[in-house]
Amino acid sequence: MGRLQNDLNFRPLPTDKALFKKHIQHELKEIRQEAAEAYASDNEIDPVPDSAYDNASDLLEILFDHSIPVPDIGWLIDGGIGFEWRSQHVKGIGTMSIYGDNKVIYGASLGSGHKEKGTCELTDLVKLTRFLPTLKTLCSQ
Amino acid sequence: MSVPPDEKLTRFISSKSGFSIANKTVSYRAFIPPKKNPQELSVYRISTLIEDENKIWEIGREYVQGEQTIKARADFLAEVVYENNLKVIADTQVHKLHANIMPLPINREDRDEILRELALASELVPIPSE
Repeated sequence: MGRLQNDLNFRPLPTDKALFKKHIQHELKEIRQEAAEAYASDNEIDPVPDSAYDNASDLLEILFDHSIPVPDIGWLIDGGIGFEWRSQHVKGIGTMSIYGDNKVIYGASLGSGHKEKGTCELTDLVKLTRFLPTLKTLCSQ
Repeated sequence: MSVPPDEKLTRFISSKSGFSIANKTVSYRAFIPPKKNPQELSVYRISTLIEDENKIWEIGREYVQGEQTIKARADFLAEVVYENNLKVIADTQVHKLHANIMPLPINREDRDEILRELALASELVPIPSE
């Protein structure tokens, strides 16, 4: 598969799905630990529910199946997980926020001025996959 | 009191999740406000301090830093806030250079749209190693 990995913003990932799943579980485990430590030390931080990690894992698999580069992943102060993609040569950004309610809040701003945003159920692959070409465009810019 | 659009603002970042050293970018995650005050984003006005970076970091350490140490900051011009139909209001109760960006939308889809623009407009400034 022709993954868009020629950009420093996107990390190489295993092409085998089993290896990929192992890779993302390891990454989510690290993020979970970091988020838990932050929550324990700051009362302004909301805990990230287990369901958000489950949703993040499911979503990453969907993205893998559609040849979308692995995003930069991190926890959100208001209790979620956030994915982020950046283009290298133009000012472009794409994001997905997940809070464990089986919904994905997505959006992108491309260098061309094109903007897109939406919210959908994680299971609504029709709506979700309509957004993925925008991410592919972003990652190739 | 409104802050002029050509003023430089900074958002202090305590979480590794808020930036990428490798890509030299600020993440939209750095701008997510806490749930207890979801429509206000706390920033500092740093145009008068540009000549002395140490003073900027001092504000971060004294007025922002909690248990988690400050790791970086996101510098951007106030104009990007106004371009997104928000205001920058001086709030000198905390510090004479403190301000709030407001009102962020409650709806996360609309909020994230603005946070993406703030992230794109920001320059990442990692804290210097001592």
